[in-house]
Amino acid sequence: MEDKAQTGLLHIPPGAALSLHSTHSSIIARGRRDAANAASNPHYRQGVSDYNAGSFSGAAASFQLAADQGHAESQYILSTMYDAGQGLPQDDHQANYWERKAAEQGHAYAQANLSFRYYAASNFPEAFAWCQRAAHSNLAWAQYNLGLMYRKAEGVEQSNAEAAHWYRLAANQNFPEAQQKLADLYYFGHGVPRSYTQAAAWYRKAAEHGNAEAQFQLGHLYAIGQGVEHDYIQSRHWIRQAALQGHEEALRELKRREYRDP
Amino acid sequence: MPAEIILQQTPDAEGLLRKREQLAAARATLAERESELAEIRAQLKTFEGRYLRQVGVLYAELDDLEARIAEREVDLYDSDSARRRAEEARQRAQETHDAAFREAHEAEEFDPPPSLKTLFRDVAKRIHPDFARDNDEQKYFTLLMARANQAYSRGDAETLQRLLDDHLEINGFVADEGAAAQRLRITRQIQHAQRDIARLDVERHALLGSELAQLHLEAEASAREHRDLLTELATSLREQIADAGRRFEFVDRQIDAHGR
Repeated sequence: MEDKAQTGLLHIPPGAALSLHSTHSSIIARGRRDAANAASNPHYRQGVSDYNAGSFSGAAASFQLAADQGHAESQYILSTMYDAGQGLPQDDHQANYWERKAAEQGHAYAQANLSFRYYAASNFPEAFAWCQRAAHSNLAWAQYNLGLMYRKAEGVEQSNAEAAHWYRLAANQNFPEAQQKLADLYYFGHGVPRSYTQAAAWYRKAAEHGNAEAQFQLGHLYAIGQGVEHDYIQSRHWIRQAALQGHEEALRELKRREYRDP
Repeated sequence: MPAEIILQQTPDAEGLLRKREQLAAARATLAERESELAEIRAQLKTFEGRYLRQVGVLYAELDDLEARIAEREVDLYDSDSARRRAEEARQRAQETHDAAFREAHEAEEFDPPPSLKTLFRDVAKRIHPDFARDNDEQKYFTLLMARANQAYSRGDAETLQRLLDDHLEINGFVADEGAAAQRLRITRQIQHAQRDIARLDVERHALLGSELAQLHLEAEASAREHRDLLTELATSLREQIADAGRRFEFVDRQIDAHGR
C-alpha cells in the first residue's frame, strides 16, 4: 500500500531540483500540465460530440460530469442548457448556480450572463461588478452594457467619459449599438469634445451594420449638412432604410416628405 | 564637365563608403532585434509575475499542506517509509515555495558585487553618449549604454565584459586613421554587430521555446475563447487545497482517537 502511495507522488528528479532556475521553470511546467489535463476533460469532449450529434440529454449528462470536476466551459454550457431547458428540465436555480461557478473561473460569457440575470432582478451593483469583469475580457456585448450603466448611473456613479470609453471599445469591435451610442455622445458633446464629423462617421458605421436609429440620424445629418456635406439623396436613402425597419420617426419623416418624393 | 571629375571617387573612398553603409544597416538590424527581444522579455516577465501571484502561491500552499499531512502520518504510522515520504514532501514543498516567492526575494536582494560595479563604470565611461565624436556615434552610444544598463541590472558580467572588449578592440586603431585602418575598424564593427545579432537570435529562440512562453501562448489562446486560464487553474487548485485541508483534519482526528 505504501509503495502505491509513493508512485502516486510525482517527485522532481534530484538533478533538476538543484538550481533555482530549473525549480522555477518546473513550477511553470506543472501549471501547464495541470491546465492541459483540465482542458482535455474527456466528459467535456463527449458532451461536445453528443451536442453536435443532436443528442442533448446525453450531452447534458456529460457536461454535468465535467462541470462537477470544475471544467469552466462545461459549467457555462450546462448553465445555458438549464436556462433553455435543453436536454434537461428548465431550472433557473441550477442555471444560476453553474453560471456563477463558471463566472468565478473567469469565463467571460458566464460573467456577462450572470450580470444580465442580476440586472433583470434590478440588483444593479452586482450586475455592474460582473459586467465590468466580462468587459475587461474584451467582450463587446459587456463593454456596451457597461457603457449603458455608466450613462444611466446604474450600480455606479454617472460618468459620460467612462461611457464613451466603453462604447468606443465595443464600437471598435464593430458592435453597431455601441457605434450608435458613441455617435450620440459625439453629437451632444457628452463625455467627449463635440464633433459632428465624428458623430457622422460612427452613425455611418452603425447604419451600415443595419442599426435603424443610426440610419435615421445619419439621414438627418445629411438633410441639415452637419458633419457631412448636405446631400438630399443620401438623406432620403438612409431615412428610407430606417423606415423599412419600422423606425417610427423615420416613417413620420417620410410621410412629411411625401409632397417632395412621391 | 569638371563637376563630374570631382564627383568621381577613388576606389578606396568608395569601398569605405560601402562599408559604412553595411555597418549602418547591421546596426539598424541589431537595434530592431534588441527592441523586439526586450518586448518579449517584458511581456513574459509580466505574465510570469501574474502566474506566480495567482497560481504559484497556491501550489506552494498545496504542497505545504501535503507535507504537513505526510508529517502527521509519521506520528500515525511511525515507519521508515512514512518518515522518508514526509521528508520528501517537505523538501518538495520548500522547492515550490522558493520558486513561487522567488520574485519577491529577488527584488529586495539586488546588491551587485563590487567587481560588477567596477566593470560597469569602466564600460560606462567609454561609451557614454556625451563622449561621442559625431551624431551617428552618439546614437550608437545611447544604444550601447541602454544595453550596458540592462546587463548591469541583470548582473550579467559577460555582456559588460564583451562591451568593454569591443570598445578596446575598435579604439586600438583610432590614433592615426589612414584609409586602411578605418576599413579594418569598420569591418570589425560590422563583425561585432553581426555576432550580436546572432546572439540575440539564439536568445529569442530559447525564450520562445521556454515553458513560460508556451503557457503564455496557451493562456492567450483561451483568452480568445473568452476564458481565463490562470483563474481556472487557481480555482481548481483552491479545490485541491480545500480537499487536502479535509484530509489533514481527518489524519489529525485519527491521531487524537489513537492517542499518539
